[in-house]
Amino acid sequence: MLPYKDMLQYVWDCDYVGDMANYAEAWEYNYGKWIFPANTILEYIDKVTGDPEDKAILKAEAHYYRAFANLELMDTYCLPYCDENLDEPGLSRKTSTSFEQDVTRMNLRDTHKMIEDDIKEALKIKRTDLSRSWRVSLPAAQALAARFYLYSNDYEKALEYAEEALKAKSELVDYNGGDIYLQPLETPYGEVDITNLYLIIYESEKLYAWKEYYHYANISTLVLPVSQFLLDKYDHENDLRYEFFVVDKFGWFMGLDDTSTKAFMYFGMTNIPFGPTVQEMILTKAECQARLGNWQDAMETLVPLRNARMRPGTPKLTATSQDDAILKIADERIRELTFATRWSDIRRYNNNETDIDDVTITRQFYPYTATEFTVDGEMKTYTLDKKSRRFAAPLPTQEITLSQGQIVQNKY
Amino acid sequence: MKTKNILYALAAALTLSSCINDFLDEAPRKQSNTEIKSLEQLNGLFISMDYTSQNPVFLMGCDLAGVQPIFTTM
Repeated sequence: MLPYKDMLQYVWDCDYVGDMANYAEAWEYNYGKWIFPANTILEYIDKVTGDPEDKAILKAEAHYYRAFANLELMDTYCLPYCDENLDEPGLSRKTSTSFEQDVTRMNLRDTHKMIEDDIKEALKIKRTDLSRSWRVSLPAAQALAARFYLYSNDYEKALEYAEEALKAKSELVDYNGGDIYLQPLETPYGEVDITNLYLIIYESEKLYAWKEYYHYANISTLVLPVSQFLLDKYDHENDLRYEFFVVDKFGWFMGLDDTSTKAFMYFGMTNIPFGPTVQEMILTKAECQARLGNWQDAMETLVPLRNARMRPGTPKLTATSQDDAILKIADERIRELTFATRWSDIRRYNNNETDIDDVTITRQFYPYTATEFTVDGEMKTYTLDKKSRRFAAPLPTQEITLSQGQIVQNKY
Repeated sequence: MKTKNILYALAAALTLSSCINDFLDEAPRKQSNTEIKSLEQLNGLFISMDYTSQNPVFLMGCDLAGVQPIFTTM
């Protein structure tokens, strides 16, 4: 069985918030792996010896990491950023390595500003070399700025930074070009076709050199079974993303004699590009163009991306109106940035200037108790409404306890 | 001989316990007194960073995830 706590995310649980230390993965990762090292650097950078230019680069890099991590935390534990939520609880201002720092949650307005301030500092970075994508560069900071402003529904600024990033790098991996190919894998349940990217996770020199990254970062979980909604978004005949990344007979990996389960795989089993990429900037540029009224140009912006992903001869993606273009681009984001940005995209779609892209998610799944899903009973319907407060995940119970009351739980 | 071994084991356990207690007592103080003197040390923090976020909220919460019933019976 999949981990119970992962399944709780699947049905957007908030019934057992006080009972278990769930929902902690994103918290622990971002505060522990990114924000703490970034704060260490920012605390010591003016105290250590070294070349001033190198110090300035390291300082900007630390601001990038802190902004990147806080953006993920905000999109995980806070309600979506929009005018009506500005006074809702945000994140703590964790800018020090001290355990004594006040961790009372700011409101969403101040949280958003904290991230923006870090991005502005990151944009001062002088490093322009993109060959080492595991280190932050100016194009990476521009790409992060584009993501941040798109998530803030600020299309002018998002467009500006996406274009700057694309000036530095716009090359894509051509899926027709041989860099990605299917290879058979023998399993106890028969042969499964997977891509050569399955094993790249063990070849760091190839993984880190994957040329579509502005900055190398992935997102992962135990397993990514796909919904019918996602399957229906692909052109099954011509879209190479469907052919390469949607894997049949996935049950074999989980030890099941099952040939029907489909799952999404990119690098390794569940590692998906999460750092800003060329394809994300192309889609950001196109979306901003469409939302700002230049919807015909937006469809042209998508052409290089579609050429790199679809079989030769596939008809060009077209739109008949501004609204149609916005929706077509949203679908292309699903196919291209699969899983990586979808949660954040839904949050902003439901709180932007239009209703045409709103998303309400409904699922059929088993009822659950404090300890398990009752799989032998009838399924029930779970719904995540567009304005649901469950768009903010419950904060880890342990953190609330350790903060001695400074951190308060979200209200549902 | 058995008694001697038990005593050794007890001594080892007490020593280990003492070390753990010392560590727990000292950990916050050591944290704040970490000696970082050079840029290379700070640069090393980035080299050792982990770049793979585990976030089931993003991945399992969105409408692209579809958990087939078979997964619940494994």
